[in-house]
Amino acid sequence: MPRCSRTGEFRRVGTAADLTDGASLAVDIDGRPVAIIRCDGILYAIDNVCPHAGARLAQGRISGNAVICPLHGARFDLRTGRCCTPQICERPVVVHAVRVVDGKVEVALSAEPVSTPQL
Amino acid sequence: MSTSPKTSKPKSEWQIRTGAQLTKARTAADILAEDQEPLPSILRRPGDLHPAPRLIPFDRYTDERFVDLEVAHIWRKYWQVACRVEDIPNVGDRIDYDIIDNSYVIVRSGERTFSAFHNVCRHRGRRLCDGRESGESIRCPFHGWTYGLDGKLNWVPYEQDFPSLDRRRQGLVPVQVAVWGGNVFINPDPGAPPLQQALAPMAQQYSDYPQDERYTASIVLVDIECNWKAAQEAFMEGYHVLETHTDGLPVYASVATQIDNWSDGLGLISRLFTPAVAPDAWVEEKVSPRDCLLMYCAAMRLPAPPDDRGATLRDARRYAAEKLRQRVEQASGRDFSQHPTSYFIDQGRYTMFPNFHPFWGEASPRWHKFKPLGRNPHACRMEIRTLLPIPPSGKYPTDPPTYHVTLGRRVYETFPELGQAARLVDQDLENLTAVQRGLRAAPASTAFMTLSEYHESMIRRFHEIYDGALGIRVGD
Repeated sequence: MPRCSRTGEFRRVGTAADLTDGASLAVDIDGRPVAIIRCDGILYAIDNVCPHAGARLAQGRISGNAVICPLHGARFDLRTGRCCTPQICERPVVVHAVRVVDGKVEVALSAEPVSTPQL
Repeated sequence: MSTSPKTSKPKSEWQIRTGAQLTKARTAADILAEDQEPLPSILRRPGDLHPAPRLIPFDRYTDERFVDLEVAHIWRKYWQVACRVEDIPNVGDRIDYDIIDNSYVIVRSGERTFSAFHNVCRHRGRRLCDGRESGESIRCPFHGWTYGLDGKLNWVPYEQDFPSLDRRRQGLVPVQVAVWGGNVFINPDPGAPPLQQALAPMAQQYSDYPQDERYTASIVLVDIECNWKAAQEAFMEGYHVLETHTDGLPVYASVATQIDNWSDGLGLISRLFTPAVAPDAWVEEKVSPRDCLLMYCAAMRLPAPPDDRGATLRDARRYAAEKLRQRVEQASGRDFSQHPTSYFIDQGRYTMFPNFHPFWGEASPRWHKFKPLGRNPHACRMEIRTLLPIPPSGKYPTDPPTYHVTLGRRVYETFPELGQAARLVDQDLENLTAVQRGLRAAPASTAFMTLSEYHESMIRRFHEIYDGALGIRVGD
């Protein structure tokens, strides 16, 4: 289970079988854009907003345990949200709790706010 | 008394309104299929590279530190066009090529051979050649030291005063030199792979359309208040046509532009291909093939089509190609019947890293080259050479006009005789000055490029090579 601060309840967002390995799903939970990503069989949920310049991380390629931002190549560890390319971005992306119940994907939003570009 | 705000440019009738959506568009392949001819050979092998997302910070366009990095890693390492063979037509002719603080002299050393050297006397460092010169040997204007066309030091006046000098070891320092398509390239790096490798696959693609027997019809030098890279990037995509060259929308299918980036050879070649005499997807509902043809012929100064021509896309393209083919055959006395319709009208623009952009085809028979203007990162010189086929007689005008547009000036106001082509370049110039100002002004938090997936991929590819050359790792 990814380390994060839990808030609220788990909310149903989709069907687990719809997500193949390396695929991503972009969902909206109470107005918060979230990307559900399957990597090496495991599901992760992160904000669908790159802390660098706000790009949709769900469009990014998966490599190792990380997603690579499609706009400028920043890499984020899916397990912790940490940015592995500090030259591009120093802040992590927020990770959320995710589980599968009866074949359905459920996400509990973190208490941390969306990390947006600091302009 | 208040005055109304100045509008920055006249509104074009083809202006695409803000918020308009484009959901589907023909591809270049779709348009070419209408010709019902075999696909031009240059299009048969698409590019194999899809450049990864990359952080492209603005400092490489604005910071003087990059001037020296580029000298060390690009201008001293990569093949670059120094001149053309017809610039130095006779044995003994030579011409200078300056890049930042370095200078080279390119010599026609034999009937069909060339040599190139650092343009510096081995005695006390005086620059040897300025502009175009000619002679059996190269004699330094300071003390008369004389070098052969092969760079060997042949005569030192009062040589007995140099008892330890071995003239054999004191010749001009050579640099690699090689020719392709009449363009003379040099490479100061003695270890650089041969030009042939650097040109792959462009040289192979041009083999059905030989460029060697052409001559320079005119040279336009435009000094621009913009970094050389930012300036050339404006020409490395068709995305800007919508806003910068709005009047081009009815005649160039810019959204259909095909982009190819290849890994062949040294991975230095990319190309954009835009079909012409085909309306852009943004305006196609408003422009019939015949309307498109009428506008194209007016812009290209071709005879207007008779009433029964141009009813279909195929015939519009055919008619324009026929007229352009007639024009080039009349002017050159050469036969171009082997070439497809596309060759006469479409825009095939190659880019060879770092700064050379030859065009394929006869509608725009030219190349572009971009060079920094000295150590100033905020200025560059764009060279536009128009190249026409040499007639079978072998005779062609040997002293082409050079139009030099100085910094801050516009092409059309300086040389109205250049007509429509000048206006087109001016549209780009309007942008480029503003681009450089914006690059300098950007706050640190957003001082980087945001590029599209497809249409701006040539630019991504350029920076992929650039980062590799300079040893910059901004990603992993």
